[in-house]
Amino acid sequence: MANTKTDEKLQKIAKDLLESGEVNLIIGYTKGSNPQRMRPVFITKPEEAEKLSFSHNAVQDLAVFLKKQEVKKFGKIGITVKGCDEKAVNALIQEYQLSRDNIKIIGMQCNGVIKQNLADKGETKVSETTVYDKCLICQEHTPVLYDFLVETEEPELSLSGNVKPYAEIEKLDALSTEEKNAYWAKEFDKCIKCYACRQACPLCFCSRCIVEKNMPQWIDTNSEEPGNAQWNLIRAYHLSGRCIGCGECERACPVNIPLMLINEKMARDVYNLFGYKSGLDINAKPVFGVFSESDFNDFIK
Amino acid sequence: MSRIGVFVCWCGSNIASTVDVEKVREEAAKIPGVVSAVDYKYMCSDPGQNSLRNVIKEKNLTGVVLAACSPHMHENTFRKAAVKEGLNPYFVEIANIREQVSWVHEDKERATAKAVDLMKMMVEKVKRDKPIEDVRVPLNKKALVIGGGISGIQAALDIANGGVEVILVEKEPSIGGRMIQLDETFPTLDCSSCIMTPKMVEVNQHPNIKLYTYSEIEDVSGYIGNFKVKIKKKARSVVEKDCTGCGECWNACPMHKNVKSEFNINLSERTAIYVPFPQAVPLVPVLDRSVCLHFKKGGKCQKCFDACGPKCIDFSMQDEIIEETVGAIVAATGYDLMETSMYGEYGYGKYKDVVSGLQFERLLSASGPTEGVIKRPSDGKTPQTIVFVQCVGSRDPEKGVPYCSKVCCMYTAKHAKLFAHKVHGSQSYVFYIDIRATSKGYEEFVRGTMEQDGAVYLRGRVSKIYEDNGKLIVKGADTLSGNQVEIAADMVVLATGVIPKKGSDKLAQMLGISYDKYGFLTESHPKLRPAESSTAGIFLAGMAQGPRDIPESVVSGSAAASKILGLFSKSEYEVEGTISSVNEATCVACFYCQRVCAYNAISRKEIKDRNGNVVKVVANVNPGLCTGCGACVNACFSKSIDVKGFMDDQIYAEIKSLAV
Amino acid sequence: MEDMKVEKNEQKDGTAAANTGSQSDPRLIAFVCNWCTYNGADLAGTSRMKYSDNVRVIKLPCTGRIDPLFIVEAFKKGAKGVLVSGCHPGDCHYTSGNYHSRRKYATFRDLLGYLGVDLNRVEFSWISASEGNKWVAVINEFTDKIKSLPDKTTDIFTKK
Ligand SMILES: Cc1cc2nc3c(=O)[nH]c(=O)nc-3n(C[C@H](O)[C@H](O)[C@H](O)COP(=O)(O)OP(=O)(O)OC[C@H]3O[C@@H](n4cnc5c(N)ncnc54)[C@H](O)[C@@H]3O)c2cc1C
Ligand code: SF4
Ligand code: SF4
Ligand code: SF4
Ligand code: SF4
Ligand code: SF4
Ligand code: FES
Repeated sequence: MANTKTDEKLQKIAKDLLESGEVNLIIGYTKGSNPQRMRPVFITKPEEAEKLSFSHNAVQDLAVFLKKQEVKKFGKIGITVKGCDEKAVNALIQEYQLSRDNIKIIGMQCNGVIKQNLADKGETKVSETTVYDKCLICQEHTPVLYDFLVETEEPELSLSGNVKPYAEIEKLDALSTEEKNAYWAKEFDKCIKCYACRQACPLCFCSRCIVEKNMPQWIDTNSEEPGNAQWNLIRAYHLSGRCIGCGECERACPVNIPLMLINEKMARDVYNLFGYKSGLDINAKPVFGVFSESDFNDFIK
Repeated sequence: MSRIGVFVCWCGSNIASTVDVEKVREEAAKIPGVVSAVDYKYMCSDPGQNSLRNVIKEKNLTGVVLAACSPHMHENTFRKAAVKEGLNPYFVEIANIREQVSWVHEDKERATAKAVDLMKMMVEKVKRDKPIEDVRVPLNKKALVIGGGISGIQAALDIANGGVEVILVEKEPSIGGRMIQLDETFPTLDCSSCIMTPKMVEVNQHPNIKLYTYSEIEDVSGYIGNFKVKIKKKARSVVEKDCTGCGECWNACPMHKNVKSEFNINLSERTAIYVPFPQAVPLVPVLDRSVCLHFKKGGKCQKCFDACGPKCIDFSMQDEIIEETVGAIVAATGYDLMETSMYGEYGYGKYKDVVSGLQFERLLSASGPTEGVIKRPSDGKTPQTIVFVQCVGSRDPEKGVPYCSKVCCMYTAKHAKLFAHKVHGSQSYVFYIDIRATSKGYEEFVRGTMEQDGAVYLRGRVSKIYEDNGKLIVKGADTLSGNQVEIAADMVVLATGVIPKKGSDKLAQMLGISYDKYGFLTESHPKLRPAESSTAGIFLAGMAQGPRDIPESVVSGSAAASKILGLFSKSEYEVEGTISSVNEATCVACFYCQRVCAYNAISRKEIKDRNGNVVKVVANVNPGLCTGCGACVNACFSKSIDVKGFMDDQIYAEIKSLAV
Repeated sequence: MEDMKVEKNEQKDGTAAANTGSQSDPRLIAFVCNWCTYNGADLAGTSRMKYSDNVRVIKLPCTGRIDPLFIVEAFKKGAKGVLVSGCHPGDCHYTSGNYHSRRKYATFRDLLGYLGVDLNRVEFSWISASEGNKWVAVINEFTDKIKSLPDKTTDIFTKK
């Protein structure tokens, strides 16, 4: 398949970076055997740079690889990131998991990625009905931080306003306690405790997750209620104010639990409570590392 | 296997009348791991404690639960008793069945059930207690005082007189701070230099004080007992030990027109090589390289060098970094006056004869630019009418700061008084919001200014000051009479608010102590620990903490000193062993723990392999600083840190023991 | 959960009068800080004030130590209500433990509510060492509130 201008530019940047020795590894996307799916590729030699590619099928958040020891050992790394994924890089820097000096950010302008299930069915057009909800609320079509920027050739995503992203959140909010409970009990009931959500998340970088802790075993490991609910609750709590909304957890979940309805809701709540959005500024202090004397107090007697 | 002893106290009838103590004892005996359960009338009495000790010994107990009164009453009593039998003091847990059961409930059956629950809970907790050793930190018995104003000087002298070595670091060429700029001081009107100079000299000559002036703190690391401090001694260009302070150099310096004197707040000039004021300590000049012709014109001028008898001018002198190890630190960095640029309507900076309170002090001072004769900066004439404006910037949340600067009411009264004394037949007007004169002799002092010295006090704000025909026209409101007033004055003195010394926030960050939103250093506890900072071993004094006058600055300097002398009176600093510790195997170095720790107790630790390569970074708890608050545990997602005495598995077991 | 069964048996060991943990006689667990609320509760005692005996207090050094995990665990172990209480803002013995925790609780509480937990069952309060009367009022009101809730307590913590 022919290279697009985007690909050429991307490949050139990557090649230069590897040739000059500024990075030892580049994490990027490459075209898969299925043209509608892109898969991650790890490049260490300049001549392999031509494998790199980018399109509206570059769905995965590659920042997840930055938490892996096998990747970390390369030291200086370059990474291809969309605006949403780039926020994960920022959050990792904020949380000391990554040093700005060790990462070259190749920012990809992006006007939305096509939902995998639609792409699999042959959808090739970016539109408000074909992209993920996160793309509809995206404020970072151009990444907030980058060392190199690759412009997009994709037309701008036009929003009619008829498609409401994460519309379920408002509906859920309006439900009674029992109804909410019924909804989530049913969802969490499905959870098989595979932890794919955690594996897929760039910010679940703990070397030993809380569920793996025994003595005490705060979270039941059996995959039935209430252990499931508890896991989902704590996972969501740990990501509150940190989640950058890449949606990888939900995409990874084999039983389709709508995890983004929780993540996005908490992102909104944290913003409303503390005016903080995750991953926008590498110099900002994470929201749960600081406090304000005038923080919301109304719920306390 | 745990061997727990449970002791149920009757507290006479205080507990026994509402709680069936025998029942609690019987229930205790049934718990696996409990090898002895007794009840007794008064566990805290001598016989009670003896029976506790006997059982510990006879049954070889590994843990003790007392179902008794609040731990805040007798936890220590029982711990001490247990220690006498060789038990770790932290193996003693208290179930509070008096304050939180028998005294607050009436139904005996239900109260008993609750008492049983609390007892069981503590049995589960004590089973999981780990021995805790109190931490002993060795003390380097040397103190560092930062800031050589009156508060720092007082602290240094008190510590030194207590027989402890002190390092005093002052960033200006001389010690003395703001106080040495003042003329006479309220409320007794003693001359500031007369009472300050002897103290400055004493500092310089004290065998226990090492003085670094023209020096700054470059870096601080370590913790109580063992702070490593880097001091940058800036190049003075004059060899201190050889200089006699004769003054030949500054008299020879050709640069005597262009450089404004910082000490006289721009009211006079100084030379490039200079002492800030004649009584400077040390009396050794500083060569200001930013204006010196030798440095500006490529080495041409060396008049000072030629004039100096002992040849102590050294143009090639370099900044020097001095490293010191100290056990305790006092931060006494003092204050600045606010900029008044946001009060454009007052014309400060625009009209020469609108001056700040500190400038007026210099105009009053016999050693000042006018030799104590009050002269207007514009034309050198002696003013007949002066308007004083209080609260410029203070108590003004909109433009300035919301707090009260505390000293302005008093120094304005002083200024008006001294003006009346010096210029006979003169008149002063004071605009004020309220008068705050609350210390000993203060109210009388202000009254005196009004009544004997004839100052007219007008309650209200000044709206505008402008120049007209050589006069300053001051327009303002007198809210008491309801009239608008307009005064034609020869001079205006603005009582500008005080703010923390520039750069004190940076210093605070270096020291790891907290400061408020204005930059004033904050106390560990505003009422009960006013001399301590949030970090163990670092103490506070003077205006650096907030507005205060000289007597208060002196008291706080002495308080910091006495804290340090008290600390150093022991051979080691002892901290409770209930501190946190990190599981290095699982820590991912996200440092959320560090972010929430109010005591700076967490630092980075690099784990290295045999070849010295860093293989991992983890959090590390400094036992000298950790207070065992447990905030870090809450912050850690993976629970890779835990706090002794309140370990996660203990809390878990406590909750579990309450399952219904 | 086997653990729970064991505990239940233990609980039944003779102490028939223990509160049953039922909706009409609920078990409340209060996590309190050592310096303010615990002392406030002690003051209620020394002043011989009377209050509901359904509450069991677990003492921690500071609200900074009171982890949302504790709240979850308390519910799992059958508590019908959980109280978290510490020093008023500005009064924390460790200066900022309550501030840090307040942020976490505000967020965690939202999450609980969103996931269908009845927020009437989680209470937060600031009670100082001199507020014995506030402690009494908070406990009594909380107990009454819990008792008044509908008897069906299925939520994500309930084992089906
Ligand atoms: C106009 C005016 C008149 C006053 N009149 C009176 C009066 O009559 N009576 C009275 O009781 N009070 C009076 N006061 C108040 C008095 O000035 C203060 O109470 C007192 O000076 C405070 O002393 P201090 O040592 O805390 O601070 P300062 O005098 O400010 O001393 C601080 C010292 O620390 C040094 N320093 C700062 N930062 C550093 C650093 N990073 N490293 C090293 N050194 C540093 C500074 O250079 C300075 O020498 C008056 C104040 C004003 C503004
Ligand atoms: S929680 Fe989900 S959406 Fe949020 S950062 Fe992790 S993977 Fe992405
Ligand atoms: S769920 Fe929490 S503990 Fe587990 S990996 Fe994610 S952040 Fe860490
Ligand atoms: S990916 Fe889905 S099923 Fe797997 S643990 Fe997460 S929520 Fe449960
Ligand atoms: S919060 Fe936990 S994982 Fe993070 S640095 Fe601290 S101890 Fe380590
Ligand atoms: S227990 Fe408190 S003082 Fe100690 S390290 Fe943790 S947060 Fe800091
Ligand atoms: S000590 Fe009470 S809340 Fe921190």
